[in-house]
Amino acid sequence: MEKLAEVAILLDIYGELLTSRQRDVLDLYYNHDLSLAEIAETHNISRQGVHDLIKRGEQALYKFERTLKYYMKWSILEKGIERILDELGHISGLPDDSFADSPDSIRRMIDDIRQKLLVLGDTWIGRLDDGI
Amino acid sequence: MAVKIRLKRMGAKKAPHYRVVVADSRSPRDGRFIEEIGYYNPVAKPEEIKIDVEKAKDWLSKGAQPTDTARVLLKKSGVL
Repeated sequence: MEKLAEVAILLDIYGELLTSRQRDVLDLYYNHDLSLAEIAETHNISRQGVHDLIKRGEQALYKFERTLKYYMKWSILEKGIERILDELGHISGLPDDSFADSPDSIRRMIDDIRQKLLVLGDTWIGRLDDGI
Repeated sequence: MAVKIRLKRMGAKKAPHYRVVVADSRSPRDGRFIEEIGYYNPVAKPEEIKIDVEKAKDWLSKGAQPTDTARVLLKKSGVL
């Protein structure tokens, strides 16, 4: 089950780099939870053929990640942002005159930075199409 | 016509979560489903699984077929 989310995320990031056929089959398998047999039926190929498409598609996704590491970098960035927000919780307990700006305004500033980073991430990786 | 219990992907890119839905086996992509019986969030730590046990049992007794992934969730929730 862990693999489900992992491949789904890699497919979000690198899906466009796959062949349209691989992308289509992986989308049906991982995002729509269709069985090999169901995909085989709608695509008029054998169950084994679907299996091979999925296997090769997965291998390609993991190879992209090993080479480009976008998912890993994104995870590190996300963790960094979370950490910054956590640290702010501690700062807000300190007296106001410890800072040129009050903790509230610092928090607003960080939230603003966070929003910009998230927008950056969406621009970078794109948003899900409606319908999923 | 077969009725399935399957996962339906929701959520944003990089943050998948899934609804557990009862759906006609022939309408996978158009988004229609008969009933939502729970959800699964694999990204949360720890992962979140919520299944309406009564509804799930009801649908299973009517012959709805869970997919492999849905079956895992139903087992973890004590339905199977």
